[in-house]
Amino acid sequence: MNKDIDITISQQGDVSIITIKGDVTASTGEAIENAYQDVSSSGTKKILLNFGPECYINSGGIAALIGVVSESRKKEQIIRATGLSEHFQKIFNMVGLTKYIQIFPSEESALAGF
Amino acid sequence: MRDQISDASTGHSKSAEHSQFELERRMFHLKTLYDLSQEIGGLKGTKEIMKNLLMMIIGTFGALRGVVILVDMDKGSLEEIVQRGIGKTSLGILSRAIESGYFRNLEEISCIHVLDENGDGQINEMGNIVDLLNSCKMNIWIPFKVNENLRGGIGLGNKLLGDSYTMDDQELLCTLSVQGAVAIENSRLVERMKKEEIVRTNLSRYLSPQAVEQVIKRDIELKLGGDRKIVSILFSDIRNFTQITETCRPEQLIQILNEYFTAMARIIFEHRGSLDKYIGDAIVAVFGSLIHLENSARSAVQTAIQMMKYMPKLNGKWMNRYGFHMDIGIGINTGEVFLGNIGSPERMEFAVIGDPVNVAARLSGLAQPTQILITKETSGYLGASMRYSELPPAKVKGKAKKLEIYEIRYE
Repeated sequence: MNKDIDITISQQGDVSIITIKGDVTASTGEAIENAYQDVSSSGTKKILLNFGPECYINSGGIAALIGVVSESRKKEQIIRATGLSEHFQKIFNMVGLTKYIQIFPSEESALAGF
Repeated sequence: MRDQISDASTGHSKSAEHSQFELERRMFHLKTLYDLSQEIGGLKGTKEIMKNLLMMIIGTFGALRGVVILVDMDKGSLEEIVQRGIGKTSLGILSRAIESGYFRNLEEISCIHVLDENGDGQINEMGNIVDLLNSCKMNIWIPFKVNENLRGGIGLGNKLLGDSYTMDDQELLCTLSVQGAVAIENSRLVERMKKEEIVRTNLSRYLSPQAVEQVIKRDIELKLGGDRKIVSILFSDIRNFTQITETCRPEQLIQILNEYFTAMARIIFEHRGSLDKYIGDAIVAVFGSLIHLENSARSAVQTAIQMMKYMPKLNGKWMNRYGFHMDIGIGINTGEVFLGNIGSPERMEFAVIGDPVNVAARLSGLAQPTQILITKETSGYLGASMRYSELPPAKVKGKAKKLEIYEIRYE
């Protein structure tokens, strides 16, 4: 349905990894929220959002991530993110997402000590 | 001295950092304005536009919750609401406030900053509205205007960062809301045009193109509901149709019928009647239903006379081409019927239902070739200028009492 986004879910130990390729926008945000609900329903407490190198994130996509963050706080989950360009790291910081999502330079570093 | 230089250097560096951050923030906001047009420009439904607008706004400010409300200002009721992160209780409070016409008071207000936890906001004279917004955990509220009319509002809750909404934020929020309002207005305009096209297509099956435009210009909306009205119903039947079908090839028959129906429909439209339907070889026309007529019975009879007078022209052609002629009989009745569109919104049939329709059909069955029969009800509207003569009352199916019948005299 969301042709601009490709989301896959994988498991690494007790960490659920949501890999996102494509545009994270208001139109595709629901797909991310659905993926989060999927991994969340399995009872996971650790979630890694792995953004692909071509990922574009706009304000609508950030709203979807805020929705994920809000839910994760209620469920006492920890969310980390990786793959974000410097530009989007600044945007995350600007809107306050970095208060609740820790950003790592690589998947390995994000998984280390999770 | 060294310390002073160091402090100055640090201060300069911090100032540069702040400027850089501010520049990036403004670029992000500009990009949001551009992206918003992409996100909502191509959307069709109001709710979908509102949903994406809210997401863009929430993401821009990093808000934890938000709501966009559209109010039907005429009815004072909630038209549409989209929200993110609003609890059921807050949503209930908001909905009840809208339904009670609470937000009508907001017309003169450009923005409300609700006193937040840090005490940075403002309380103004609209204390009760601020209380309401506060109870719904809204930190900022701006009216949502469509076409310069207040149509609702946009509210946002706490920011993730916990800081207050600034004047810059307010200005950006207003700009985003205007873009959203324009998108909603455009989508509604497209919807209205589509609806009009459906009505036009629907009407063109019953009315002449000119009459269709008249009806649309008069803004008569064809609703699924119905109406009761006194109309005149004209039923026209081919008398020797069975004989014709036996002597014609199918393609000839289709051509003859098409020529006949085209000519008769033109005459009906010229007299501002509506073509209700074709039933096999029969034509059902209604006068005074979609288009108001001063005297629908007179229009129906004049139409019938013209139809009869046109038949020799068609017959001359058919006689030369196929070696036969066709005769019709017409019955006209006048009375109160139910009329309206029946079916689904995608496929509506304008229908005229009621006993007067059945009587017209029976009358048409009684009519001899070239005869125009009318009921007493129809004759009552004709006046002295039309010539008709009384025939013996006739028994028709479904009627206990004999029908009083008159024959129209025409040359």
